[in-house]
Amino acid sequence: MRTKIVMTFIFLVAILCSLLFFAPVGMASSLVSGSFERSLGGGVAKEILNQYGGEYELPIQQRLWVEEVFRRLVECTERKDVEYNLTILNSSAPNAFALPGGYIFLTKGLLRILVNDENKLAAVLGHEIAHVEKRHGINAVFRQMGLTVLLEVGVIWLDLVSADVLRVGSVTLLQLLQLGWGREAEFEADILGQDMAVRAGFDSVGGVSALDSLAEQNKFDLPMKIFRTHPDIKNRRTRLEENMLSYWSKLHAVTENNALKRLELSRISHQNGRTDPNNRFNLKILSGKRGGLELHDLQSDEKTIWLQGFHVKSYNWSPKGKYLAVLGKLDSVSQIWLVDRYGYVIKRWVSSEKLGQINDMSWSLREDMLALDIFKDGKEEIVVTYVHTDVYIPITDDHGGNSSIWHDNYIYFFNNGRWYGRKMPETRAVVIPNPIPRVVERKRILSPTIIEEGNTIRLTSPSLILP
Amino acid sequence: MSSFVLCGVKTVVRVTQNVIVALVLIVLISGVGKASVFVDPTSSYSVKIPNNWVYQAYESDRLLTVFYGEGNPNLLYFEQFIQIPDDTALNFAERTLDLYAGAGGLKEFLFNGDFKHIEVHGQPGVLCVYTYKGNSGKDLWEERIFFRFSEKHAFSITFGGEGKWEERDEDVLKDVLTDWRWLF
Repeated sequence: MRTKIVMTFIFLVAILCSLLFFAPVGMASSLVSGSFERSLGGGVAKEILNQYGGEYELPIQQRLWVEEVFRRLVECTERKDVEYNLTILNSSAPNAFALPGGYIFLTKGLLRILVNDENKLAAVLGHEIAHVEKRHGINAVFRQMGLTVLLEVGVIWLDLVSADVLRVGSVTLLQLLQLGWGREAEFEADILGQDMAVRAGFDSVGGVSALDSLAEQNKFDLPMKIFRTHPDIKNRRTRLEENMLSYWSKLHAVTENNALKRLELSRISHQNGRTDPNNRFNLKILSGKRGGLELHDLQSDEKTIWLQGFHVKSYNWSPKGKYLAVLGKLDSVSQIWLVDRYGYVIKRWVSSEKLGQINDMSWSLREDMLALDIFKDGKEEIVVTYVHTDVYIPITDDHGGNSSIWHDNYIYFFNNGRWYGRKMPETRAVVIPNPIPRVVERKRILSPTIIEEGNTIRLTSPSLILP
Repeated sequence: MSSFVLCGVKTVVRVTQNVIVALVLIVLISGVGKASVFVDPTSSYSVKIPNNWVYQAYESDRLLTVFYGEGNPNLLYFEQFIQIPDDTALNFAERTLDLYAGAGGLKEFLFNGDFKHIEVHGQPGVLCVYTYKGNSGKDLWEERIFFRFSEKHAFSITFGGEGKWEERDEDVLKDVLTDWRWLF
């Protein structure tokens, strides 16, 4: 009986060794049990906590928000042998890690850069979770340790964890953590993280805007460690941007009569009904050399000129009146200027070889996206861009089209006498379950100082005063 | 003219003077105590806010409404909750204070140890007082009332300020509660 057991064991180990020897490293590590990954990751997690100043206690409300974003992502994971947990590290250096076994770390410095943007946070956490889902850490450890440990691995698979393998693995893991899991692993984690974020109800733009925020921060601070461990930011950003269209539905032709009538009506109202949704401002396009827009504030009955020098062709208020998109020409170049309700230009889209000639625009109902009707490479196309992030999603996808119209969660466009539509990915706002009351602390009030100069009164720029 | 008549004229003058003084006082008092009615955007409640309290648009949102007292360091705020797990106002209060006292909660949090059951226009609530160290380093106090409505909805009324809670102007919260109206 005993001989039979020993023979079975040797037979199993032999099969496993041959499997591991001929199989790629990725496959080899997938044979490793979740408990080994957890033991390996758990040991290194303690070291990470020591190196990064321990755990940072987020204020309750922020903690509940972060936990809810994380929970929604974890719900979309596929590995059921991993128990994910998130720790915020008390370090101002922006960084994030994932260790085998589901240990996810985010520094408070990185959280600060993500400025309470749930889409950015979901993208970063999704990326880290993806490393665990795809076993990037454990794969890298095996690559580094070489095939000499395969026999040991066979033992691990049989859940007889060797202390030596754990010790060597931990050291290797810590060394590798400084270098990242490799270029291809980073790309794969980006896309998988983006997928996960979309499935969890976040906007796919989060990955791109998070990378932009990091790059922006990198301009002012010393080059950040995260850039050393995550190479090729520009390339990663391009891949994420190109992947965004995949979350929109496929193109479909609109055939139903009622829908067609509705689209025709929307098209007419889009062309003629460019009034302020809040009915406060009346705008008039000024022709002549100076151009601009004459703004009549109906509340104060005052008239002012906006965008002088810009030759306005048309304008379009966002659905709730937060922004005004103005199409016109400056130095004969067609462009769109995005203006807030105070008349400040907050963004410009300029016709270029890359973007094409901008001909028109339409607002998404959420006010965060704008469809640009462009002419590029001899044909009309529509690209969707975001107010706060420079991404361009080619909605017409080389089929060509114009007259973009948004309705509910769809964007429609016109091409060769037919209407086509695409459904945008649905998003859900973060709602904190089991909320508790917020604690409001009085803030200092911004107020100008009044300076009397003879018969005149001058106000300084607002400064902080105590209540 | 008889002294009787003179006496009557004097009496009439004195009464008229008193009436005028009383009217002036009424006008003055009503001016000082003038308040405006605030109805929350979701039409859940209305409250009389004294004139010297200022609505804080940048602190407030759809579910939270904040007012600062002018010339004093106090604040008043009201918050609504769509879904809470607690069955009673007391459970809601206890869970909240546990989190305030725990990791990531309020610095130097000190609960005075008493939950007082009160009723505000037919709705039972739980009132409590606690102190903590604010982000500015100042000693702050809050007097908070927790309500738990049907369908897991909840509400909280808070009166807060600096220094010692015992030295607060008690009339502020008293007046707010007296003129409080639920609109559901």
